[in-house]
Amino acid sequence: MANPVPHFEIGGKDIVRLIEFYRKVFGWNITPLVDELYIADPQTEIGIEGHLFQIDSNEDFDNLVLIYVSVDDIFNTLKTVEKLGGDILIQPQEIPGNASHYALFNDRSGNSIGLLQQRL
Amino acid sequence: MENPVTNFEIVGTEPIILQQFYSNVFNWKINAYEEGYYWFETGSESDNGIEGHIYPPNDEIPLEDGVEFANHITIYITVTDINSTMKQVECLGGTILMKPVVVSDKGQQIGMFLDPSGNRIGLYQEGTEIFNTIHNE
Repeated sequence: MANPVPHFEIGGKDIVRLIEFYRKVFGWNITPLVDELYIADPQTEIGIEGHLFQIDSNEDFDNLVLIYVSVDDIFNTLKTVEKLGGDILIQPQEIPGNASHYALFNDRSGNSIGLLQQRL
Repeated sequence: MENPVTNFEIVGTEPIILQQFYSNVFNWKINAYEEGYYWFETGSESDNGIEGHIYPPNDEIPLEDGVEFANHITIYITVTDINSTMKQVECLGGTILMKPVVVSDKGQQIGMFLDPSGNRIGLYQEGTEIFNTIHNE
């Protein structure tokens, strides 16, 4: 069980400006995935793919960088997180269309980390 | 496409506890540079995963004036010319948090900025043979 970090997300309220910034500074190929979610695919042998996402204007935070850890059993991992003093922010949710699940927790220092599980 | 995301860091005031937390939750094999400063691989030959670092906020990081270094998680993007990328960041509405600094005797450099939404993002540039030659002479 390797539990790699294969995915990242960068969020902002002005998604158009955010996309323009990462396109122009890094030359990333950024394409729409679903509503308010854009995929940044590195298309290189090294590095990982990510999403840029729109933060709703009603939210009380303006930005968010997340890394996602890929796990075999998302429920089991969340149990361990709770046992070791982390806090669950989002219980496992299905990602529409691809049979994967994600969840979100805070570690002991209050940093938020995502979990991904393929084909639950 | 150039400029891949190759590293991440988890910064917290209790790095020893954090290191224990992550090694227990994810079975990551975490190595120590020294107490409180850690690095680890999350990928393998069969899994695409990037390298991580855990360390505490500290005064040795040469941040720009007025920048506070608190608990955070961020990603690092590997670039070929960190100074040129930093200029682009500023031109397009980003804010420099840390100008490029050399972090090893191989000439690797890191920098840090805020994107226009205020996300903290790291930059990394590999060392070069030229740097090695100059540095070791």
